[in-house]
Amino acid sequence: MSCRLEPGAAITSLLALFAVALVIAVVLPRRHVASATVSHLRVLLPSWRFFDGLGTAPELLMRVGPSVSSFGPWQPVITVPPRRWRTLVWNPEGQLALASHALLERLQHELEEQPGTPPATLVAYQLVLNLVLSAVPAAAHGGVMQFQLLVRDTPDAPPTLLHESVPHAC
Amino acid sequence: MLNALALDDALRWTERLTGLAIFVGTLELLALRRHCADDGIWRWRTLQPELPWLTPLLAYRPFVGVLLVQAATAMALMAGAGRGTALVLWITSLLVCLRFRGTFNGGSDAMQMVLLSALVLAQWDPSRPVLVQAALLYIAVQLTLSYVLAGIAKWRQAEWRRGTALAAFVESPQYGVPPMLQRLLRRPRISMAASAGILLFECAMPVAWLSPDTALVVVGMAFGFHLVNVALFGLNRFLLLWTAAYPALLYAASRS
Repeated sequence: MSCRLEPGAAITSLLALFAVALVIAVVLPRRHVASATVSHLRVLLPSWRFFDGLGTAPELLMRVGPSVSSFGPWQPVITVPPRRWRTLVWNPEGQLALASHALLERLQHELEEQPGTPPATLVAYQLVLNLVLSAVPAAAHGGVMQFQLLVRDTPDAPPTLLHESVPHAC
Repeated sequence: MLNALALDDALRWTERLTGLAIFVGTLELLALRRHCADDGIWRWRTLQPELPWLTPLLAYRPFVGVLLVQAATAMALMAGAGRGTALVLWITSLLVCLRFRGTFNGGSDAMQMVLLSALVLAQWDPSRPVLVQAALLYIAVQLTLSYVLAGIAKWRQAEWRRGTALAAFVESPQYGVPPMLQRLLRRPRISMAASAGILLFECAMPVAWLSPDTALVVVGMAFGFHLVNVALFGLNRFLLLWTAAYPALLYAASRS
């Protein structure tokens, strides 16, 4: 008697096993894999976890001035564009804001994962520095800039300073 | 009762909608290309130490070329050019993700790769229906899991079960949620009802597989869910890419 599985049934069985494996994976505690290759190829390994962690996103502030002794007030770096009807389909400014926030989350993660590493040596730090420099007003060019990375446990909680940069020329 | 979605129709609609989503997403990236230039946020000089061997493809000018190839190929996919288009887009999409250290837009990039991986399989040998079936079923399973796993992950958080998580997320400055919607979701009953609705909808997604009629209703609800997400969080790429996966789910339900 032949026990051969029909192609359709085989596919269905394989996909069902795959689905069960993914459900088990999401139930298990998350483990960070410290591999640059895995990190760069993570798009091929979707986790499908959206909005599950409640910790608020890190905030990025900067201040500029003609010199380190004459900085202006701290101000937010990333601005999110207002919603328009075209946002349904066309939203490059929104994509930029989201990608910029992703840079902050990546830096926060790397700072927390590698506490002994000088922040300025991290690629994530360099990218955030580039982000801040891109936001410096033209009138402030030639002066100095400094940025802070802040985190809050909840939206109403006072911010905790995660990192404050040294002054950079801008 | 809804007629079953034929295999060929499901594949064609998946290709059209995937091509459209990628075309729009690529145009958005081209509109932002100055941020990848040599004085931009994602300047190659900063990223090169991690991937020096990809300089011929990911330095600024070649990267713009990759985006132009991606846009043109996405149009070809929409037009039904078929064989080879998905493979080209798979390669260009992976290059784009590598250019941004793994992903530009998180979950939507992952769904794009799911769609393209399946279409590469479907286009491999169009004369073999089993490959097309496997491709569409793979998309349908990943689509279902994208909701179920997101729902399970939320369900495990006490704030979501209490109904307070959604209000906290919309207060986060990173999304720029319109003030009117923030005020609405600050009301405890509305926040709790919305949170419960999201958990129920996401975790119950597998019911779409019961019949074509059920799948159509669920797909309609899912489309509305993503429309709300665009209004709240500006996640338009999610709307386009998840919509591209719906024909596969409708086909899968028609087989049950």
